[in-house]
Amino acid sequence: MATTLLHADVLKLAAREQVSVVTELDDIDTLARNYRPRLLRFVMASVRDEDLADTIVQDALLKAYRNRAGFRGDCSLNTWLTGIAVNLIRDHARTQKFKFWKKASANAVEADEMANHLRSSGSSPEGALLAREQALQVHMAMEELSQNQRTVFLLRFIEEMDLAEISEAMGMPVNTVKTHLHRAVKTIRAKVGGQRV
Amino acid sequence: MTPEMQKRTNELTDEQFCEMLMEHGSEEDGTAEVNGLKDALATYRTETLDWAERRSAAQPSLAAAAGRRSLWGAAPQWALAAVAVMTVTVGVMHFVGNDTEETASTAEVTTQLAPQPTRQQQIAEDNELLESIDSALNTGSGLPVDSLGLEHVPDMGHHGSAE
Repeated sequence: MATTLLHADVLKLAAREQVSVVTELDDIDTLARNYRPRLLRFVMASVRDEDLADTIVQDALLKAYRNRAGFRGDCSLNTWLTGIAVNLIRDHARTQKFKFWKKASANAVEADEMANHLRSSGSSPEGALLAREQALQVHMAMEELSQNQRTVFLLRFIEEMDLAEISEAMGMPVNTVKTHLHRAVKTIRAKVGGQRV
Repeated sequence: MTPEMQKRTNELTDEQFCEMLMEHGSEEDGTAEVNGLKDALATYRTETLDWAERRSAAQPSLAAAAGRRSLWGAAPQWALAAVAVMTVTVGVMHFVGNDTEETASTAEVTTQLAPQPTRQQQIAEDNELLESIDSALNTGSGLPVDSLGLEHVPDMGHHGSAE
């Protein structure tokens, strides 16, 4: 009996969540309000160009809204949206690869808006100041990563997605995701790790 | 940082470091190096989300952009496919038709412009041409320049004329 009730509860919960997702997808402004900041953070950290990041995020939201009938609920809405953004970043990197990398390397010298925010936000105790300084170093160190390594690193440690979700969003096997992640962490460790200790 | 912790930090391989970084344990579970990076990543998450929220708040509504496209999106897929097929068909038929008409009219014009000689006239012209060739061959001086036909000097006495 208890099992039946539990099962019913799960079904109710699933139905409620599905309704919530459908509502979010049916209203583009609700979708933007709930997901744009996280998408923008991820895309900006990937492409390092504010205007380009805005465009990619807008395209991702519009694409999701127009193809909402194709969302089957196999993964979370956040994972689905992130997958769309990952593909748009890949498309951009393919079509304007030269411009992309040129801009990325140029921004390593002229810090982008996000880096400036990291550098200047608030006045805080010494501990937080050190953490922010190290966060800035992480931001700079990510320049050294390949596109896939950077994406995996961001999705795991900034977006806090698990490996299965990253695998779904990037359309690659979990083992490949792990390989990219280990290489990324090795590079970040070499650049940032140990500087504070 | 205790010497023991320092030792653990130094001993961590990259694999172990990565695994510890992914763990959601308390600070006591990790090394100073791992904890330091965890703090940095937490700060990065907070500060960059703060930046993204501010920037997102300044962005205009997407409803207008979504509405523009939905006019196209409202048309059923089969209707769009039918329009595409009809367009291609009409285009192909137009060009095929033009091509046939053009060929016919060109032939007509050619027929009108060039008056056709009668069969008898044609035979007579051919005979004249053959005779002139025979004559030229028989009366040639044998000089290479003759073969060029630069000038025709008739009756120069090569045939033992009255002169």
